Amino acid sequence: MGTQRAHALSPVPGGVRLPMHKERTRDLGIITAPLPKRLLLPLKAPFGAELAVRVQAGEQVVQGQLLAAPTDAVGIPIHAPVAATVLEIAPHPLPHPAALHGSCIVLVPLPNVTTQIEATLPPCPPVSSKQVLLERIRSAGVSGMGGAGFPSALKLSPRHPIQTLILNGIECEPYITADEALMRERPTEIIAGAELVAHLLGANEILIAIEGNKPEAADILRTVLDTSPPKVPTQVVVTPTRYPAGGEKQLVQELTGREVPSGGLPSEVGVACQNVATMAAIYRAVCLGQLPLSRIVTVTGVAVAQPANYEVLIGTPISTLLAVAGAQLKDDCRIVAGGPMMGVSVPIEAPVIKTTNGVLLSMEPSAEQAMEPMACIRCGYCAEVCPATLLPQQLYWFARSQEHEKAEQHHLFDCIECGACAYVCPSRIPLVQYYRAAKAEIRRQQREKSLSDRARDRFEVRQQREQQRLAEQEERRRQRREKTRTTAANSERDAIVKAAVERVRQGEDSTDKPPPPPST
Amino acid sequence: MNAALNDPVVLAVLVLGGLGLFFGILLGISAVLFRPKGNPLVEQINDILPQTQCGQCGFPGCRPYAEAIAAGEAQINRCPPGGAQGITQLADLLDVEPLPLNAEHGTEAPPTVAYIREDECIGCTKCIQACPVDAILGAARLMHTIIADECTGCDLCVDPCPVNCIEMVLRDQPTDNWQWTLPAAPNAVTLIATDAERVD
Repeated sequence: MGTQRAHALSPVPGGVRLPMHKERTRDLGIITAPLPKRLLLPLKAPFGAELAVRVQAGEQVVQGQLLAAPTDAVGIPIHAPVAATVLEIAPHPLPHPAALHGSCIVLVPLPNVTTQIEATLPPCPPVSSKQVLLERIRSAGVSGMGGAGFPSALKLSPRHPIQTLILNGIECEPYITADEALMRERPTEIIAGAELVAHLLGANEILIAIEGNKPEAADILRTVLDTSPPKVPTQVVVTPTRYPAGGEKQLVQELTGREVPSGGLPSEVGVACQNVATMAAIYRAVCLGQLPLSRIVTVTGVAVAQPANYEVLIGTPISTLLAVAGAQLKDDCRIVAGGPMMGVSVPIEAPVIKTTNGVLLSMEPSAEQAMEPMACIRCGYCAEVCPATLLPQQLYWFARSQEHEKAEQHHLFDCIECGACAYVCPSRIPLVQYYRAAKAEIRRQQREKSLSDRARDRFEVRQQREQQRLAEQEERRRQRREKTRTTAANSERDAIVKAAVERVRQGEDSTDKPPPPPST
Repeated sequence: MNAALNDPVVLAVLVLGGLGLFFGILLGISAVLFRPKGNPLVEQINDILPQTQCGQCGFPGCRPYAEAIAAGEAQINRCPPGGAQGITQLADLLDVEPLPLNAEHGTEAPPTVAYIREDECIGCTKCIQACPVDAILGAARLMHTIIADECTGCDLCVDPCPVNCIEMVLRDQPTDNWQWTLPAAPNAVTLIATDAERVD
């Protein structure tokens, strides 16, 4: 826009152009999904230990009631999305690639409640200390809604000073339009949340990053910024449409030219990256007292009759959501939570969680369509598109032959699993799965190593103690022996004295008798 | 004497000899001063061993076995908890051929943890004395219990129990223990099509 000079972008390595398929849902706005019959709230969050359940089966709960509290610093509390009865706390399928079951709180909503999220906490007073604001964000259970779902309160207390706050509105995954719908419908919430977060972080600049294929969202945000400019200088930055532009490290590099160090966080280069939906959730939690009990989910795919962006209560089963969207479920359907590039195939009974930005219904490719992976021909396309400038073909060989040390030397852990390499691979090798398997195996070995180190320490301490005990025993035995020896010596001497005394006494008694003959 | 020093050959011999002597003394002193404590090879081997301290190898703990391997007194295939992976690592370290696990010392098994049926326990403390890693808690004539996180699954506590109230159970595999596995090998084809034709 004319009022602001365009922000200079730095070149970033790699990336691919994908068919985006966003046109079916991008102009549809946000529709509130009807109240589901059941809500499933998994107790196992991606971070932290298992939560402590505060309710029992059969109990009635009100909207916003604390159902499970974290037991450590990284846990995220669970609140009741609506007034409901607790049906049970039992294992149910999780939104997990292996369809694992995990303990869930199952709620049956009361008959005449609405999906409207009421304010269940008083809004924070306008002048609150950072501590109070962070505590509110933590206790409201706000977590990152774009990527891994890390608790926001922790992400907002970084160890390094922050200059720039980047709002991630890139949404580079095909099909997904949840963040786009939010930016077009609720821009003021996002900007208010961003202002708050910039205050918390002490950032002196806010950049709202939007991919070039969402010009309407960029225009709407610019209009809001022009009519009511925030206190912190804020500008909208439009980036080229390129997957994975929305990766955190890639975005930081593109917007600031600073590269996040390997294994490090953006805060180390003075940048904080936050998803736009998280900003809106923080604004609602702090300024309106509304807990993050719902989120926007794009439901789409070839077999979905009414694709749309639904505002969905957390815990709504995916099956309910698909029924609402008029999905034609067939045997060969595959349900993906997230986008087609990084999403995972999940069971239909699994619930929507705070990080579910999309539900895709895709057809399993038929046997003829699905091409068997073929041999790597070392074409090098994967290395050209890798946004982390890794050597995917080398990592593939190392993962395959389980040469984990070499894989680590080739920076396996800098791989963001974006799937660009697998997308361009002419041999259709499922590269990301190789990397995930190798990473998991390395982490397992590290875990085992730390366990065995611990066992060794305990064994060695025990041995030392055992030796000490034996030495002490030996010492006591020696002392006792010495003592008995001295007592024995003493008694011998006593006996001699006694005998002498006896002799003398006998001598006195028989003075008239002749003295005993001198011994010879 | 001076004349001899002026001779470059003599000078070179003297200088080089002096340097040699100096560095020789330096090396000799450092060899004594910085001699590593114990055998570093034992440490490296011990690092690979799984530290269950189960004694299945016939040695009283992992370190004695590591010492025996380092001294060449024991084969590398006597550790069932380490399994084939452990043997491969040992073989890599010692630059010898990996051997199959010696079945005399047991077979590879999934990880277990000891469990005390607490109402049967008479509190004799025999298992506490047997546990190599102090993973059993209890006192005389009081109930004992296993600290499951510390238990290495060595099963040394099972035999000493006079009332047979200890059993080994499979360790729970919690959900966060799930991990991605390598994709199935694609028809075991590793040659590109044109090369495969040539091989045929």
